[in-house]
Amino acid sequence: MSDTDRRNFLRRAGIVGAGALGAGALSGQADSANLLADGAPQNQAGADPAATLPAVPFHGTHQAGILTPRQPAGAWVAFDVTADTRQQLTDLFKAITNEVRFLTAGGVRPDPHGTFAPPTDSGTLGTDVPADGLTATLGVGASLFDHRFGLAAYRPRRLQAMTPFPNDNLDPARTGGDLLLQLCAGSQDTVLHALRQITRVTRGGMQIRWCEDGFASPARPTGVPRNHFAFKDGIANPLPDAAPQLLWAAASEPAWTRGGTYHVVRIIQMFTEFWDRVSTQEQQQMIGRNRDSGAPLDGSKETDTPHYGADPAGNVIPLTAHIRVANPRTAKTEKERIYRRGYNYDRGVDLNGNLDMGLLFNAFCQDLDRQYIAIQNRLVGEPMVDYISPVGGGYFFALPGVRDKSDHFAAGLLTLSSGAR
Amino acid sequence: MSARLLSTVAALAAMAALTACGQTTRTTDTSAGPVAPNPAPIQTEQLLGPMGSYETYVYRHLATLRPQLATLQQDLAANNASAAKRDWQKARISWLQIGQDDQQYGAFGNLGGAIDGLAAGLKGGAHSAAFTGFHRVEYDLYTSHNLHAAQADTAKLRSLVSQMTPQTVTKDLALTPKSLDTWVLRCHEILEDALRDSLSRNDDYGSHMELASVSADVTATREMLSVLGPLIQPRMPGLLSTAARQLRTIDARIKAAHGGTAARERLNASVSAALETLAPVSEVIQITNANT
Ligand code: HEM
Repeated sequence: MSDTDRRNFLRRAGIVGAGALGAGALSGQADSANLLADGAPQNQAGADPAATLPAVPFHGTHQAGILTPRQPAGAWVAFDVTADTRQQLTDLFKAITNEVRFLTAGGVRPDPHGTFAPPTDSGTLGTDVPADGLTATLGVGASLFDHRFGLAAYRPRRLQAMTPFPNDNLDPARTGGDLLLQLCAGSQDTVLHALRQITRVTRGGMQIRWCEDGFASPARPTGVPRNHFAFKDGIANPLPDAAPQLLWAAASEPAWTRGGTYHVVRIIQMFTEFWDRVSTQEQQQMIGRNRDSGAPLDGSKETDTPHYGADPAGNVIPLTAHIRVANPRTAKTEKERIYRRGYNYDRGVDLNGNLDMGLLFNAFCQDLDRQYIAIQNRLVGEPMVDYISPVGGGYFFALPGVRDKSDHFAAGLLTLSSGAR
Repeated sequence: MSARLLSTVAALAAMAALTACGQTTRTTDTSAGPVAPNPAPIQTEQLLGPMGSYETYVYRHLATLRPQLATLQQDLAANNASAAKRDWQKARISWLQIGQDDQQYGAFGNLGGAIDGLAAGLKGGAHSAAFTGFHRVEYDLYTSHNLHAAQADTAKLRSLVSQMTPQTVTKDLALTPKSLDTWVLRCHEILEDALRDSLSRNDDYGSHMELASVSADVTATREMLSVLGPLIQPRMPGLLSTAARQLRTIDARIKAAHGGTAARERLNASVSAALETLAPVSEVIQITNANT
């Protein structure tokens, strides 16, 4: 995409002029220019469906799709590996790498068999495939480190199967998986095109275990997009500067994990009918923010920082409010902070006639136990739990980035485990 | 030179240019290798032999099938449900080994559809009088447990199968462009059916015999590859050995598939992988004078 194209997209998307989104805003290494004062990524929702997002570089120390500002559409796809041998597993990672390398750059796909075989591209994006801001973020689950491929000794130290928290209702068919692929792009057809192409070149090697689509709403009317409870979601996030302490794998992890991070996905159903029967006042007390503006209840703008020290009894922001429990903003909880990148989902209707909608809670952190699990344990029994039900998801380790053309996903892990430690 | 051949030549030139830079990496398990340069055009007459062998194969299976259906009829007359189920399954496998599934991909036209059609799409579904054939009897035996109905429906099935005579079979397996194209498609469409209807249990009316069905579909696919092998081999030299290996993987995974989700995922994966390999067969066998 040329600069003019990108400017056009940004203008059509209503982003130019907001001032927050500089050139390179979609590059894998997000800089603070992409983020609001409180560290929240800008949303990239597009107003004109025909516009496409500029390409996000695929190669790098870290994978894209982690600090990349939220694109409008996404899919979270967990796979189980069906390959038999370590060699086939390596081939699988190579095939995913090559495919993602092509898709994230875009272009016309070669058809080496000509008319002697079905076309290699499904064609759903037209012949000249647009990159459309596609990011494909690949992670591995604890189950990949079982007996099958001899990887047990190299498991990231905190990687574990997701076991239920007290308020959970996890469906095994929608929980866990050997691999997780997060696909995000400018629009849903770009995401689904990528999914079809990636699964096509990996048929024998993996099978989809579960798959969830998500979307980020446009700004209503401004700022961070809203979730199904009408609250702006994705405001408070640590700044990218803190990534070495809060995001990227720690020095205590196996060397091959450098540049990677833990990836938490929770499919959380939200009982919107029930929620809509609750007063605004009560909703705000549960969340701790103003529903309309997104401001903390002791502030006036969404970018304001809550001051819990000035309100020790919780008279303004209740001690049980979601944002206060999730992040009490004390010195002790500083190192618990996580990078959230949530999406809304909509999957039809439930057996009881209620809408089946929810939040694809999607977050990255350096240490599952110290950060995500600590927060989630504190949130057990918060007032909001009556209105939500976590039904699936998983813990994964998002692999280090693919550095260059000669590198591939999980190369560090697989070379290690094929002999030389 | 036919238009089809012209486009073929253009495609080959493009292909030669592309294979030189060698892209498209796939997982080893789905790679059938490249098309050989300048494959010789195929004349209709070259399909005479393969089609003849396949017809013989069909007659052999029909000859096995007819007495199996007669036994089924006797079981029902004797009111013996368990024997009837067993013999229905035997007959079903013989039929599937021919390479015929429901009318969607079937090469035996309306008759094939009447013998192996599903209730979906019929007004009244399984209660429709138009719902006939193997699945109708399966429904009687395994779902509605109505041996009386099974008796009448088996009689109907037998009469349908008796219409599969050399006259009707050769009408569908003719050396005409349309029927050749449909026939060659079976190289992957038999397994497409296995994935789409059997492994999804979409064609299950209570017998839960999808694993045995897939196994029979593999047998039929092998037969197709064996009769067409001499035409495929010089044109896509890597395909037959890859397909043979992948079909063996399916066999092994069917045996292991009785245990839970992971085993089933592995079976699904192996069928899908074989399908990717087989998909080009019908394109590789481009019959140059088929539309003359
Ligand atoms: C359906 C379920 C959930 C809903 C509706 C929800 C909603 C919200 C909202 C409206 C905010 C305030 C806006 C913002 O800062 O982005 C927020 C903040 C936050 N939520 Fe959630 N959330 C949910 C689940 C979770 C879960 C499972 C966690 C687990 C760790 C979590 C952790 C946080 C954190 C850490 C913050 C930022 C607090 C801060 O730093 O001030 N949320 N959430």
